Amino acid sequence: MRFLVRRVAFYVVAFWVAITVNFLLPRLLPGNPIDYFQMRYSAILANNPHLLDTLKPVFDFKHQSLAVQYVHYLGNLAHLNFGPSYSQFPTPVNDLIAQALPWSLFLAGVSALVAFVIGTLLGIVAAWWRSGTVDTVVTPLTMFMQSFPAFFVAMIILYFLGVIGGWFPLDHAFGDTVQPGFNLPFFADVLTHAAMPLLALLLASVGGWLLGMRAVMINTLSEDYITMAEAKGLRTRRIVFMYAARNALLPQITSLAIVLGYALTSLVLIENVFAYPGLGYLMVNAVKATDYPLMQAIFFLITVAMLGANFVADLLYAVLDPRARA
Amino acid sequence: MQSDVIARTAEQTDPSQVPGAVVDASRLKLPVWAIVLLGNPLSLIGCVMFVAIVALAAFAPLLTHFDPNAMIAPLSQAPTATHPFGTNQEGEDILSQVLYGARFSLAVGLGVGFAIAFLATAIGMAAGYAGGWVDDTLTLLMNIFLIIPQLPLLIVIGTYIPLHSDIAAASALVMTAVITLTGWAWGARVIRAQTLSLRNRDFVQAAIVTGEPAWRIIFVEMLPNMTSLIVNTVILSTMGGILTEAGLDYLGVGNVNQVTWGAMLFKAQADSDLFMGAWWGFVFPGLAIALTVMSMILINNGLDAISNPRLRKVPRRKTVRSVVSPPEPAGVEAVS
Repeated sequence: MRFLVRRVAFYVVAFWVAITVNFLLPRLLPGNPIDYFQMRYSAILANNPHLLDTLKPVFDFKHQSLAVQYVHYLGNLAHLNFGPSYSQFPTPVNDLIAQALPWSLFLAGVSALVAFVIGTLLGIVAAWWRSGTVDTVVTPLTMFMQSFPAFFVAMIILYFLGVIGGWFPLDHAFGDTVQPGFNLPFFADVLTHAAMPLLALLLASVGGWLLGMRAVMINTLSEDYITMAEAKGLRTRRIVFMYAARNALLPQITSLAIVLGYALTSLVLIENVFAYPGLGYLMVNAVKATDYPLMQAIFFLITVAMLGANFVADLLYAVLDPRARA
Repeated sequence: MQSDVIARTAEQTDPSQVPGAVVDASRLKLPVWAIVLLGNPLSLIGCVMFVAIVALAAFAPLLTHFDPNAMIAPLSQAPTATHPFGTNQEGEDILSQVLYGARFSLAVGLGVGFAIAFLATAIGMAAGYAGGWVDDTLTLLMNIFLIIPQLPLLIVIGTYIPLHSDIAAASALVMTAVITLTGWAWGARVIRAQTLSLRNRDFVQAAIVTGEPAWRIIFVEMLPNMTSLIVNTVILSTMGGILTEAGLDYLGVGNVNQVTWGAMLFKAQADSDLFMGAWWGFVFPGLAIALTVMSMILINNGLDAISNPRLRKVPRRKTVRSVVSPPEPAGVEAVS
């Protein structure tokens, strides 16, 4: 129990640090986003001065002290009020994020699951039958693949499968010819558009799972109870999965946090290659358009997601390993 | 009798006779780490590749007479004899861009590698040795930096602090600083763990008890035992630095003005090289990054064998090259 309490306390502190950094960054550096905004949209604002009020949740630099601004900022954060987007004024930031979030979740979720399953299975096989066919082929191939930047792999896939092969559509999440909704043509179109990004993400993340699982399995296989199981005459498949893999999976959960961070980085880069309208693509476009409210909101969301995922991983670890509950 | 026992013992412990060495280094008198590194075929390949890439970057002006920023060539041409890597959409020679871009990418990568190793060692050892509230605070700091994802944070920072500039050195410095400050945490955690385990060892406990000053314990007793870990951190951080810098440039948050591998990929995407079939625009810079990172992975594998002798190749039994035979006792010859 104490383990969980300490972890929760840590996540609260980390969360506080993240939102404070998000608050301080635009205010510490020279330049005032409100001036920038006024300059850019001076025409609209001349006719509708009340639109400036919509910006108050985001930036209220000029008139109040830092402490008061911080309190307002926390209040707005609690209501998830991020204000309007600069690049698509006056659309609220929350709407833009709500449109992009499902695509990112779809891409990241499916690829993470498939990468975990494939990577772990291949790692188990490579570890048990060391120097067998799988180990000699797949392990060096994975190390080789790890040295390629994720977005370069995505570009190669886009080029050879999309441009040259013409098997998959080249960008975006769905085409212009289908009606979004719960109908089969839409789902089919979404799947064909998502195939290449999914493959790229899969190739980027499977290596980590495979090498990690293989390393832990090799350590687990030297334990005494494995020797005992073999001496007892249990079937190979039972030993590999019920005894060795079950115990080897546990340390893998602790590496979940690192894998998630890396998967997030890959997601941002790969979405850019395919112009896939997820959060990564939205974030980079926000940066290019210097859309401060949108960027802050996405960073906040990403940090919350990372903290949440880490917390779930810690919970899972506490449930699965009784030694951690001490 | 005693002299040849000593001779035989000397031969067996002679470090140049590392088992399984591809290179017969017995004549070269190199230190053990060099022999192990060059003896392992994979790490030898890695060393050669890395040295070759650094040499290519350093001697770039000698290898290509095209200025990487000069838009003089025909646009978007496939590789030919005059332009072995082709040209991009703006008429710049890609080979010269790859060679000159290597300078920036390697500079940032190596800078990040050494800076992170320095910072991680300082913070990790301080946390591990001091213990108490210092350790708790530094560990909290480490965990916070580990949990906040690095690339999104760099993208956010990149909006407020311009990471690009027209002066190559300035932008390289800023990028190195920013990547170091967001990426030191993992190395620090590993070094802290090792420091903690070393601190409980007998020789350190003895040093503390006999009243050695703390600085001496850290620098003279503990630091030499962590050399392999620190070198490992340098290599991994260099790899991470090169990949992160390329990623930032590719997204357009970092440099688009400078010639770097990531910026070449950004241009390839922006100029729609992919859609027009101009594969040379992105394949060559991408391969350059991949080969550099791969060479460092290979070197890293070789270094593991230095610190863990069990990972060195054990050869099949072969005959000893020079046999030290015991001298005949003087009395035997006289008798027969």
